[in-house]
Amino acid sequence: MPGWFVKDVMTPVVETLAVGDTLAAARQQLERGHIRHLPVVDGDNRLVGLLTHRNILAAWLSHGRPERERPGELAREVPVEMVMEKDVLTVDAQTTAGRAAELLQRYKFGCLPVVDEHHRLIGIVTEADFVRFARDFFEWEGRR
Amino acid sequence: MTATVREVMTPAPLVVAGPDDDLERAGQTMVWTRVRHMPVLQDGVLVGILSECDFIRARDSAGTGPARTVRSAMHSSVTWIGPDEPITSALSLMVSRNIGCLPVMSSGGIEGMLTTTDLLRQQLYTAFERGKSP
Repeated sequence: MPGWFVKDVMTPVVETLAVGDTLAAARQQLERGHIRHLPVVDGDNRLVGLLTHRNILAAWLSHGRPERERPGELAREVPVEMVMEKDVLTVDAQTTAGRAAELLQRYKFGCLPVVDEHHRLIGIVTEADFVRFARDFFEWEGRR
Repeated sequence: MTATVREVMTPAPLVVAGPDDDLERAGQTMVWTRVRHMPVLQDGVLVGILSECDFIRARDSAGTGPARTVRSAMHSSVTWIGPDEPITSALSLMVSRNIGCLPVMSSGGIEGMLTTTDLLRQQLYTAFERGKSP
């Protein structure tokens, strides 16, 4: 897949979480933005983790006690760093789009954060970005 | 010519749930099998989809009390597609409705699921391989 790079496909990051944010705040952000992934950054915008629906789901299932605890209340006390993915695979803007697609597919990741040479977050690339890209391509091809 | 949905989808048998199944158990199944969406079938008929997002939303709003069922959390209004539709139609539907999966339905019932992962595996390469600007 020569010619296309992550920078052509990625979504520039607008939504992030900070260390210390609660799971309840993260949930509101995910719900409001209709998104499934939120990068977690430090004060210098360096990537420190990734919170996904799957992390939250797994956390509820392994720790929640639906018979005795109210998950909504519990979430107001849990910081995101307790639940987030810490060992996150990243790509840079010049990674080929084909390589990013291969990583997403091989490891069944829903998204890959895009970082610069200082590990500062500049965007994310998701399966949905590739779907949108392909839709645009086929529409363009159909108009030719 | 682009591929049809049938050529790209994950065909049945699928990981499914029943509407009266325990919600926690369905959530565990999603984590173990690494699927993000489960078709909910009653007597073989599609009655809803349960997604990771639905499960989390249900747990967030839950009080204490008895176990909840899949029916209480699933969404029953489901966008679907036929197996012989071109992939381009599926791409348009998924982008315009911001959804990550489409049940594939025929007169015989559910034939499979088409997810963004399926598209990534196969069809998306076409756009890149042709190397043209969208």
